[in-house]
Amino acid sequence: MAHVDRYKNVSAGSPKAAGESMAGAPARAITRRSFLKAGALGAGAIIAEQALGPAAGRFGPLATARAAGAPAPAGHARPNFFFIISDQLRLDYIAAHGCPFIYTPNIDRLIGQGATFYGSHSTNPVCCPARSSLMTGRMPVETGVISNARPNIHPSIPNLGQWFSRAGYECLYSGKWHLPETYPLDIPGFRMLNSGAGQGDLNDTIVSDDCEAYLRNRASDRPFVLVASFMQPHDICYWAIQNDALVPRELPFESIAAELPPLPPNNKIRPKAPMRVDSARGPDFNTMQWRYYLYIYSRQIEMLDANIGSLLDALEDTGLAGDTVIFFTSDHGEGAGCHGHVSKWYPYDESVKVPFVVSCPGRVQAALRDADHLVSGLDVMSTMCDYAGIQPPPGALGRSLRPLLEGNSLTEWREFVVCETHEVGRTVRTAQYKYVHYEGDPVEMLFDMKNDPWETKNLYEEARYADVMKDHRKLLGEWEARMKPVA
Amino acid sequence: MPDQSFTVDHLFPLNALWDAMGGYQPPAASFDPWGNWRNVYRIYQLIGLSFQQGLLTIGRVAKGGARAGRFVLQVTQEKVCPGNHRQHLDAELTCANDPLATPLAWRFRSEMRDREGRTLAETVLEKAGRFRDGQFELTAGERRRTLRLPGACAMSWGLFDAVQRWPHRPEPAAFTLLDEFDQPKPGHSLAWRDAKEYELGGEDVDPSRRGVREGRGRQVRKVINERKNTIPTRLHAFQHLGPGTLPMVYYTDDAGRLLFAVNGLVGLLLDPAASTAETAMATGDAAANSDAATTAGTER
Repeated sequence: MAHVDRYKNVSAGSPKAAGESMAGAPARAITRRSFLKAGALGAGAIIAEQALGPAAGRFGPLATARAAGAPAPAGHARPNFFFIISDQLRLDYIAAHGCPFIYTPNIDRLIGQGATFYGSHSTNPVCCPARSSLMTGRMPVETGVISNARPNIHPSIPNLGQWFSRAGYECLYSGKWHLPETYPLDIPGFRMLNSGAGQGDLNDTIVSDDCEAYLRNRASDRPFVLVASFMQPHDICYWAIQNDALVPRELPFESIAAELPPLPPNNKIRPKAPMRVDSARGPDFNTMQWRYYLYIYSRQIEMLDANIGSLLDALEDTGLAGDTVIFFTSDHGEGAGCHGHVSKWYPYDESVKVPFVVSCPGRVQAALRDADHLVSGLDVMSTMCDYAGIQPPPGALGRSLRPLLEGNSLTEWREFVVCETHEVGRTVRTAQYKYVHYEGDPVEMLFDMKNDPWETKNLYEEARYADVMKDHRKLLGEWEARMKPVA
Repeated sequence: MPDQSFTVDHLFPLNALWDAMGGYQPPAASFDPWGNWRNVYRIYQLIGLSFQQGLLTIGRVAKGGARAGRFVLQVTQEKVCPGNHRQHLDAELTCANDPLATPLAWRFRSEMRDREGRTLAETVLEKAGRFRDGQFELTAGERRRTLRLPGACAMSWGLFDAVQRWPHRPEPAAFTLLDEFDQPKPGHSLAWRDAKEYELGGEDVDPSRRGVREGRGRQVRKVINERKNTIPTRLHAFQHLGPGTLPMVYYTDDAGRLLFAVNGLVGLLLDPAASTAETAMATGDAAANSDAATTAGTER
């Protein structure tokens, strides 16, 4: 079956770094607990340490000096930033990431011109919490946005627009915000090109038209941060909710029968899971309905792709491409039939893994496909700050990807990322394993992501993984101790 | 499980627009798809209870008469955004008088307007394009790109015209969709799907049921209300499929007039009172033809 090798033979972490199994014994989660030493870091790292305090070293924004021979900055000393956010886009539903049933020439172009990270994770696979992290560099539990029902970023935490406006940037926003309002008329720190509106299939062109117009009409010499926040492919939610109206029980268009994507191999597999995960059920689709649902999701991504194409063309036409660092990511993924799920919320990869692409000719190594580093939505803020030559906001947790983007593969890196789910769920993803714990729930989850990338077998009760479980629980405990939840 | 007894599949995908069609009176006036017409569509978002978000006006100017080699489509679209801001769009397309209304030349302008109707200057986007020497020339400001597309080509708004003249045969036409005026999407097809009689208009037997959704959790559906005093109307359905677009179904009446279109969560409904039509001249008008040729550039 096509497209069964999740993430096309890539894994989120270096297998060797994770430690290979010996004689059937599971690899321990943590084989090197290296703490970064300030002496090995460049000036940017020292600034970050000062901003975050001494505890920041292990998890905080640490930048290393650019590697010898890495691309040198061109044009402006301070580049522009173009932050393109999609909604509900899985990491693996992109042609350049190996998806054979989707046509994404423009996202592929972006990936070809820059770097893509296969180990990219949402901080929380639901709109508001994930967006709060993208906009602040803080975990949702710290921003206060722990669910869509609590969508206000704590006022003490600056957002991207506020932070970069203070640094002299012109900050503009177009499209979905959802912190708290989905389509506000004003966002602190940003000037609005438009608020966005309604669903993506009708209104994403407003976002792209206005961003394209801004780029083509721009007269200011100030560097800019432009956010294009698209709704697609989030529209797919309605295909599940209004499924009788939109997904009939028989294929409504015979001529697309041969084009329907295959079901994922874990469509009917539901590993033992905490109650909040286990109790959720997707729609009662038959096989054809599932495959039609995936067809629709694919087309919605292609609509997004065309909008991105207009923006990339505008950057090239206006000569801004070489001075503008593009970030492309999504707030969360989409179940798309994996584990019988639609939508997001869950700690499974289909929900938490999202594209993370950075591109800028001359500044970012082209065609870089990184499968060795775990990255997070937290890293957007820190990476932008690094390129802009400014400190990240106090408390920002992300790391600058700049060393990796410039081809320094020897950069010391974090050993795990954490995702929050359902307010009380926490996922620790290390190079080889995924560990999931829900507060108050005796059922945990442990997946060997190297050998079971579709997350079909929960290993948490197997005695031989006791040490692995212990390691991950400890990592989570240390992480939780570092969090500074808002009151 | 929700009740599956209602023949949703018979209506699909018009069922998604059905709640907006209560009381709809299909137009009775004559219509010549080759003539000069101006169709006004209400744009609906089909989420829960459908709501109108904008208006699309699309008119064909058959300057050279029905047999001329080209015609002009004039398009105005307005979408309402929060705070009563609006995206306003004007476009003019010169199209070949062929089955797909092949684009020959166009100009396009979009802008955001605030609640007082003032244009937000930095959102003004103007583009143009034309077919010349075997390729499309795309212009935005002083920047020019060229695009060579193999095979047939169509634009979304051109298809609004094309389906009104399309033969009622199931053989599909293959083409590349030039979407948003400059984004090529190969592998598209347009085909007549079927003709069925629908009960349009009328009133809900139980108005209190309008907008009701049945089911629980993730298994909900709109209720398709029973209606009385309806008008039986035969509709021809055409389907447009391909990468980068959701399956789109156009519905025309026997005269060829496009009444409805459903495309994912977007529904278009012709407003007969606001629309006009007149029959094209049987013979060409040389002067008008000359005007159109000047606009369109070199013949494709």
